[in-house]
Amino acid sequence: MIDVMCLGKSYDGTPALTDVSFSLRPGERVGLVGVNGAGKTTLLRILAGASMPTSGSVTVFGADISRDREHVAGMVGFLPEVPPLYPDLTVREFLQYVLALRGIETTGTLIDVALHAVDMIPASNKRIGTLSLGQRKRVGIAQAFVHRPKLLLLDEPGSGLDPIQLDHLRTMLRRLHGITMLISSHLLGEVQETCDRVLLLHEGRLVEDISLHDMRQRCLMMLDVVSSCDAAIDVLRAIPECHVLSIMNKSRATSEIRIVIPKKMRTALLQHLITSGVVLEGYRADPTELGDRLRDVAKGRMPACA
Amino acid sequence: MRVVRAICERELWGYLRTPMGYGVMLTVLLIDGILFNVWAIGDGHRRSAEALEVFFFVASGPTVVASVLLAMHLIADERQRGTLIILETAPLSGWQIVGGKFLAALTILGIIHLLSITMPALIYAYGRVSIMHIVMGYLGLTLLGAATLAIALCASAFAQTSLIAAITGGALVVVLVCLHGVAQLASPPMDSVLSYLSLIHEHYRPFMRGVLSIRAMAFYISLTLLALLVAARRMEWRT
Repeated sequence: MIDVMCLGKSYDGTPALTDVSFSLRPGERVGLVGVNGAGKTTLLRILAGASMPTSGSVTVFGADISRDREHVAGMVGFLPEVPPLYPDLTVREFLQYVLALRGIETTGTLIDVALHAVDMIPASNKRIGTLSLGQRKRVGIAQAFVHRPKLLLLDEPGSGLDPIQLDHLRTMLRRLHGITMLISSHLLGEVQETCDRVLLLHEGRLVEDISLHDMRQRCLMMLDVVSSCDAAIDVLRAIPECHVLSIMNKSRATSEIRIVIPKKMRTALLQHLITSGVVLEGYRADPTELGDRLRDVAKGRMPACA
Repeated sequence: MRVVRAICERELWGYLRTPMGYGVMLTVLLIDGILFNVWAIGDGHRRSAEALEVFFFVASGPTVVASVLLAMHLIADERQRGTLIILETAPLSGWQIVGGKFLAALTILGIIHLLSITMPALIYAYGRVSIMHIVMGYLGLTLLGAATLAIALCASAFAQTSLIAAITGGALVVVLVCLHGVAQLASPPMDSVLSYLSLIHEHYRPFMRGVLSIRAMAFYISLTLLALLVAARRMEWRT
């Protein structure tokens, strides 16, 4: 179990993370999503032990990261956005070195398993300096999990990969059973394909912690209201599951109200509006995709709706 | 210890797989050879013990410069290339990281000293010097090199690039070397303090003459450990 409690981090007084709290269950795959500067890399670096929090606590399988950094480091594997590689070493030599740094006697088996998982067996004796970007990324991923960590932290693992390599990466990540993963990504499709849950960071704050299943149960509706807009808003705000996003005047008589509601409530909501005296010129429902929703939250157009 | 050995081996390969290690070794040996011929042997009228003493004196300069060059990249280069994260996120103590890197640079320095032994060997073969004079000379040279390596490694631990590490480390070493001159301008008791802290003049001279100085050994070992301690603390420090 990984517990992050009220985590804060600031650089020279500028907050990078503020009051971030969440938990990861063993074996869970969680996506960490947010725009640039949201605090994703800072959070991953703290979990990896490369940076220390300013406030709050992080516990990784019972060990506090501030008090027992070395022990935590033994349980964690980390891939930074730019894979840390030595160009003068071959792929196999590099993984041997990574294992040696963790005090693991190199039997070859761990390395072979990791190389097989990232499909790098044919290039295992090539110097890293001669590899393509995609191959380097795969070696970077291999170094993150070659020692069989309990927690795997991947910072933008898909960046710089072509669609075929991305597909391979997803398959590979799905193959890593039993490892708790936190995957930061701009590629929202990647998160949808590989994760069970999404954490959305915005300006250093955790604004959404939601399972993909729950997210898919919601939809965006645009209601064209002819009668008094205020009355419609009052009716909508009285429904706890409904989140009003925006109100826009379409013409003198019509206003468009954007809301997010659970998909199953759409019909009931329309009936409720009509019985409450709200006159609708029309409505549209949009099965909002995760990417759209996250972009809206990041742009401040959508509230954090848990 | 296994981890220290792994880091040490990695660094040694780093030196030996790139032209840098060979470049430093060849340059030092070339300069040592030139200085040996011009200064130590000179016109051939110097007594052999005196020639050996001069050799160890002139060899101290290239050793100090080589130490700074060998240590400047050890940590700063990893920081610059982004590979330091591998060490930072591994279950390693600062001492293990610094120890492994220091031992690798010291090994290269040892190889340079080993290759330079042909010069004192010539004096031994054609003159009258004791083996202990040569042994003590190399002990002093190694202690001086170790202290300089540790200072440059410490600078590397703080620097963002190898160039900054070289400038900072080099400046620190120059200040320590020049302290003897500054001490002559100072009044008591400051002159004694400054003179004691002088890197070469005060402590290296007994070794040049073939004398084992425990006081000088203690100075070099203390300075080495202090610099390594600061570097190790820096490696454990997380922002």
